[in-house]
Amino acid sequence: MFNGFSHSVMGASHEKTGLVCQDSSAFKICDNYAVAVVADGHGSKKHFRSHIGSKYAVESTIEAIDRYCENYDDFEENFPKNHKMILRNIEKQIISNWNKKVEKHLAENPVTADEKSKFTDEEFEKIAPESYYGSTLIAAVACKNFTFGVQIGDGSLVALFDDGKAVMPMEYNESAPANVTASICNSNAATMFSSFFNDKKKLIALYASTDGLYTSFGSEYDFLDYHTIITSQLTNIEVFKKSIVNNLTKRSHFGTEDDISLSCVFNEDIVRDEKELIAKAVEDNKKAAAERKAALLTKRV
Amino acid sequence: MSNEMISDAANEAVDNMLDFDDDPLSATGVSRKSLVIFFLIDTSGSMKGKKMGELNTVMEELIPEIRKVGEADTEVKVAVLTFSTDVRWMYSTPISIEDFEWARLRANGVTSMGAAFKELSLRMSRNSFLNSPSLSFAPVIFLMTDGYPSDDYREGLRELQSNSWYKFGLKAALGIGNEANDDVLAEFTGTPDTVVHAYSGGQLAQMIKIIAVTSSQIGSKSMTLSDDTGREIGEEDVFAAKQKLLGQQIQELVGKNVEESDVPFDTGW
Repeated sequence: MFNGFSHSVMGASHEKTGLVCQDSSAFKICDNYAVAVVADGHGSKKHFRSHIGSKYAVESTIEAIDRYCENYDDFEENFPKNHKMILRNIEKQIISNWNKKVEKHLAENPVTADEKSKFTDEEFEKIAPESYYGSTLIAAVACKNFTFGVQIGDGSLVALFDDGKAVMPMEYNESAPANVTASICNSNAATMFSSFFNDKKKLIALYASTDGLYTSFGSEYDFLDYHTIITSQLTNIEVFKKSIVNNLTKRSHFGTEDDISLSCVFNEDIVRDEKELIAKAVEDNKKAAAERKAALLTKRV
Repeated sequence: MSNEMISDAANEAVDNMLDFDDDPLSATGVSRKSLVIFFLIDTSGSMKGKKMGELNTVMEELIPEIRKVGEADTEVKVAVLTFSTDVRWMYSTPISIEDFEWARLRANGVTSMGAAFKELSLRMSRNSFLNSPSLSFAPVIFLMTDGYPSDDYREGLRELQSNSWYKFGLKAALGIGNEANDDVLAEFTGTPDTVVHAYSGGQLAQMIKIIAVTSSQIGSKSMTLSDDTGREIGEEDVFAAKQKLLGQQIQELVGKNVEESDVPFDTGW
């Protein structure tokens, strides 16, 4: 019933500066649920192990979701009734998993003289050890009868429900207005998540992406339309996988040169059944884009 | 592997990357890093005649030159706000320099500079003119005027000064003719280094080109967030460094290019 894909490409700017890809991505398909996750390691000087931190963020999330879905029937019954509380608990579980992985990695791989050489002793003392691994995280989860997502830091989550419209359903946490800088490594990370839950609409496809994808578009309309086009291609996933890898590579190379990750889970049955609806949405979006451009070029003086 | 073979492999990789004509995913184009240049132009009655005629001509000529700035790896967008008795945008949103066409301006009315500052502040927002996902650089803001504001410009400027895009933007101003007040312009830019003056048509053309091209070049430059010793520096330091560089380059270019043998605007005014 569920299927998915994920891919990360290294940004041209990181190639130039000799950085490794800071993004990580993964998806997991089970009978009752499917998870798409991406994470973007901060990559700046004090986050010198953030490529490892982003990998741990992705692993920690899938482990947390797996744990909550172990007894799937109970989960499906309880989640809609107590989704706010359960979402908070899932977020805490992700942070806890991530911190354990980071602690273990640091214990087994102490900071090297080379890593430390970039700082004065005073500067290095001020950096919290978990900051070495700082990363964002966006997770999108499709269950049989509902959909949810959690996010910390920048990046995007896009959903296509059975009305054929691509939307960004995340309800941003207003208590964390500095969302763009929120990180899984913050001491109060568990309070900095944004999330969404939807049990009203049938899901066609759900996407999580790091901000390198969003910033490769000229407008939010184009960004959303791109996800509708992707959804229209999912009926032939093996052919599509090649073209999405090429397209993400092109976007990173000719766009803002950042790493790009995209992860998706989708319902194969609904994608097939709603093929015409999705094709019509692609055509409608093309017309709307042409109309927007014509309106934009009208002089007012 | 020989150099020739490496080169062939690299070319093939680029060819494969570019081979997207029949790919449905290419329908939504890739946007390069983008920069918005705001032109704030005084269209009050005192600009009538030679000043406005010259300004229209220069701005038409300037567009291809700004296109060249964006050719490398930056998409330049332009937004023009005119102010006289009313304030008015030339287009409803910033327009890519590739699509931008200059609409010839007419002069009439008083100089509502304060109202223009307020309007600019309102639009310089992620929820308004600066909503493009690919926006990567702080804006360039270029003010051109020939007179003293007829409204409370300080109130408008205070509002503008609280806008973060203004704080981090590159600001330059051009005074046209004898009546333009350089002190007011320096209040707008925050420094006299990026304020210049044109007293004739020839100078006006030179100054507009120098400021617009130099500021868009510097504005679209990726500056590193670390200093020579590798110490990380804040974004404020990067923008301060850019503004300082703009001041230095403008003063240097203005010093080299001043046209002396031109008829002053104020002759016969």
